[in-house]
Amino acid sequence: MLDHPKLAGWQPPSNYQPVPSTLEGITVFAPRPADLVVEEPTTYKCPNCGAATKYDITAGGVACEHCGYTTLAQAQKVGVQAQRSEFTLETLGQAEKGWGLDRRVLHCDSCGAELAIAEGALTATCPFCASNRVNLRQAPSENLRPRFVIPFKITPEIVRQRAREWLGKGWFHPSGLADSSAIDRFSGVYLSFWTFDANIGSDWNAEVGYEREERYYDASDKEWRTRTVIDWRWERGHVVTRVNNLLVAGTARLSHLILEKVYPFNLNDLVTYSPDFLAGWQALTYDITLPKAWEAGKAIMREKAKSACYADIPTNHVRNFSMSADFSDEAWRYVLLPVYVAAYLFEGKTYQVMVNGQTGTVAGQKPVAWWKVWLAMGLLLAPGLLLGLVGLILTAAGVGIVLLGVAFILLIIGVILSIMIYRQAVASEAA
Amino acid sequence: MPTPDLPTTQISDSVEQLWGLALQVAGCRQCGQAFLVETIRLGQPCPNCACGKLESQPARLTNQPPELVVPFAKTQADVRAVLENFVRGVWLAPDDFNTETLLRRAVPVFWPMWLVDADVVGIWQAEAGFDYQVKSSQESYSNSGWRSREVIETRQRWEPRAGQIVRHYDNVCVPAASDHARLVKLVGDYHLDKAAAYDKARVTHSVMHLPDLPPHSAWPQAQVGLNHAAEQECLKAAAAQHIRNYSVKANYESLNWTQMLLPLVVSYYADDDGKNHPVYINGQSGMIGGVRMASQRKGWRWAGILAGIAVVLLIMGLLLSVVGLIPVGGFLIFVAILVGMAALVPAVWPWQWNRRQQPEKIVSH
Repeated sequence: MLDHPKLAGWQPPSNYQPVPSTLEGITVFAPRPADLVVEEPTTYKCPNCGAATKYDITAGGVACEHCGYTTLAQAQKVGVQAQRSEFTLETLGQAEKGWGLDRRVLHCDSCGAELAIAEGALTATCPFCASNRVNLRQAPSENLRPRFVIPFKITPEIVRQRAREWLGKGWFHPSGLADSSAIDRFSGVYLSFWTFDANIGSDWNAEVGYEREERYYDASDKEWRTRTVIDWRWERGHVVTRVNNLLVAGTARLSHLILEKVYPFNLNDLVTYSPDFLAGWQALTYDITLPKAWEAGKAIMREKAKSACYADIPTNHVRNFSMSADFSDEAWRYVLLPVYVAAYLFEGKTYQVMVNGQTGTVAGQKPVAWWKVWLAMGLLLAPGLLLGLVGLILTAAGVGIVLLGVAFILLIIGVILSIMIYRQAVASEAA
Repeated sequence: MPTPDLPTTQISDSVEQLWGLALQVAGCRQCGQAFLVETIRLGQPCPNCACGKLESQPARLTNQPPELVVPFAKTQADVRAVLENFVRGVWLAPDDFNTETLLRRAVPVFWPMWLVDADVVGIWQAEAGFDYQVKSSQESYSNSGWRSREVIETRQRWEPRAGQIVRHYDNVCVPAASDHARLVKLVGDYHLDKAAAYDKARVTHSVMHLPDLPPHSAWPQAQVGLNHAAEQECLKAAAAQHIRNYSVKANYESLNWTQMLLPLVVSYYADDDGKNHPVYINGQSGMIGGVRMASQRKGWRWAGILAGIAVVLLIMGLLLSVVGLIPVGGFLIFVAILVGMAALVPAVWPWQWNRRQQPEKIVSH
C-alpha cells in the first residue's frame, strides 16, 4: 500500500491480493485465484467408529460399512458444460512431462505406515489399517489435475450379473464359461480420459463425376442403344465440422480395443472433481500425455471432416480429391470415468473384461472352443463340396452342369459365412 | 474529485521580459483571436482567418514563457513546392490563387498547446489483457495422405486489476486553441518528440498565436490527458499487454502549465468576391490544408466567349444554307450546337467545384 494522506483508508476489494508492480508509485491488486490451495492427500476414516470409509454408489457419498455413517460427496453436476481448457503453449509444455513414472511413497496418517503405491495410482488402501487415501499432489500442474469425474453408477453386484450374462452368450465359447468363478473379481477403476472439441473448416477440391445416359449407334448390331457415361468436372466446397466431446483414453495400460467397446459414456453426468468419489476405489493417472492424445484425437477429427467433405459432394464418383482442414477453437478436458476391469484365467490363458461403470455395457475377451468353430465351418462348406463332387461325376456322364452351378453358389455362401464366423471367433479372443 | 487550483491569466505588459522578443499584443475583430506580433505586422490580414486586420489590443497572458518549441523544418523552397502542388489542378482558378501570391503572403506562425505537469494521486481499476499463445493446426489431405502444419496463435486473457497510484507526469499536451482540432485536421499531426527548449532565436520574425482556451477551459482535456498517461503506466505496472475499462478516481496536485509552440505557415488568397481564404501549411511535415476555390467569374467569361462563337457559327451556317450551300451550312450549324453545349461546361464547373470545397478540403503534400 502506498503511503499518501489522500489514499489513507483505501482497501482493495475483499477477494483481491497484491501482485508485483513493475513501477514504483503504482500498486496492483488482482483477484485471488480460486484453486490456489494445494490439495493435500486425504485419508478416509469414519469419524464415528474409526473404520475405513469409501465411496458408496447407492448412498452417493462416503459411507462407513461398519456403522453406517454417510456423508454426501461435495460436487456440482456440470455435464457437457464442464469447463474446457485451451491448448496453450504453457500447458502443452507441462503436459509433455506427464505425472512421472517413479513409484511413490505415501505416508498413512492413520497408522504411520509408509505405503509404496503403484505407478499411476491416485489412490491407495493401507494394508495395515485399511484406511483409504486419495492423493493428487504430484500432478504436473494445476490444470492437469482431473477436474471432472463421472461417479460409478453400476454396483459390483450388477456388474457380476451382467458379466455372467455376457459370458453365457454365443455358441462357439466353451460350455460352463458363465459359471467361472474367476469373473467375480472385478475392480472398479477411475480411468483417465481426455475430451476434445474443435471446429474444423474444410475446403475440398475434387473432380466430381455426374452420370449421364447417352444414345449411340452400335454398328455391329446395327441398332441404337443407351449407355451411361460420366462427365467429370472440377468442383470445390467448404464444410464446417464441429466435433464435441471426442473421448480419447489417457491410459495405455488397458486394451483400447476393449475399452472402446464399452463406450459411450454419457458426459451429461460429469460432476466437479471431489476426492470423495475416489475413496476406496482405484484411480489411474494418464500415461498418454495431452499432446499425444490430441494427435490421436486430431486424426479422428480430420477423418470426420473428410467424411463431411465427401458427404458434401452430390455424387459417388470422386477422383483427385484433396482438402485442407483448418482447426479452430480447440479445447480439452481431463476427466476420470468409471470402468470395472477384470482378468480371468481359462485353461491357462488370461482374458480381460471391462464394464462401463456408468452404463453397465460389457466388453472383453472370451475364449473360443475352436472345435465348434471348425465344425460349423465344415458344416457350412460341406453341401457345396458334396454337391460339386456329385456334379463332377454326373458331368462326366454329360448331365451335371446345372448341379455344378448350384454347388458353386452353395460353396460361395459357405465360404462367406465361414469367414464371418472365423473373424468373429478371432475378435472374441482379441485384446 | 474537486477541480484543482488552476493558474489564471492576466493583462500583462511584460511580453518582452517573458518571451525575450519585442512583440506586441494584437487581435483580429473578425475571428477574435489574439497574437503576439512585431509592430510591423499591425494592419496586415489576420494569420488565423485572413479576413480581419491585426489591430493592437490588450490580451490576457499567463505569466510563464513557452517551455518547448517545435522548430520549422520546411525551407522557402519546400513551401514553394507545396504551394505549387496545391495550386495545380484547379481549373478556372481566381487570379489571386497562384504560387507567387501565396508565397509572398506566407507568414510563419506558431500556434500554442498547453503543457501540463501534475502529480496524479488516486485509485484505479481496469481490465488488464495478457497475451498468451495457443497451438493450433492446419491439416491438408491429398493423394499422398495427411500433412500437418502447426500454427501458433496469440490470444488475450482479460483479468481485473485495481490499485493505487502516486505518479508525476510532465508535459502532457493539451489544446490551447479552440480551433486546434480543425487545424490538426487540415495540416495533420506534429511529431512532438522533435520539440526543443524555447529559444527566442527559433521564433524570431514569427507571429505567436495566443491561447484562447485558458487553463480552466482546457482542464477537462488536461484531465483526460493525465488519466491517459496514468492508464499507460498502470498497464505497465500490471505487466500486461493491453488495458480496457480503465477508470481512476484521482486528485491532481502540483499542477504546472506552460506552452509548447507548433510551427505553421499561413497564407491567403482572395476569391471573385474579394473574400480572403486562408491556406495553412504544417511547418514540420509540409502538409497543406485549405479551401481551393474556382472563379465563377472566369467561368462566365469563358462561357460567354464560347456562346458568342456558337452564335456566329449558327448565323453563318444559316446564311450558307439559305444561299444553297446546305452541306457546309449544316456542318456549321452542327459545330455551333456543339460549341454552344461546350459553353455550359465553364459556366457550371466552378459552381460544382466550389460546392465540393465546402467544408474545407485537405490537400496533403
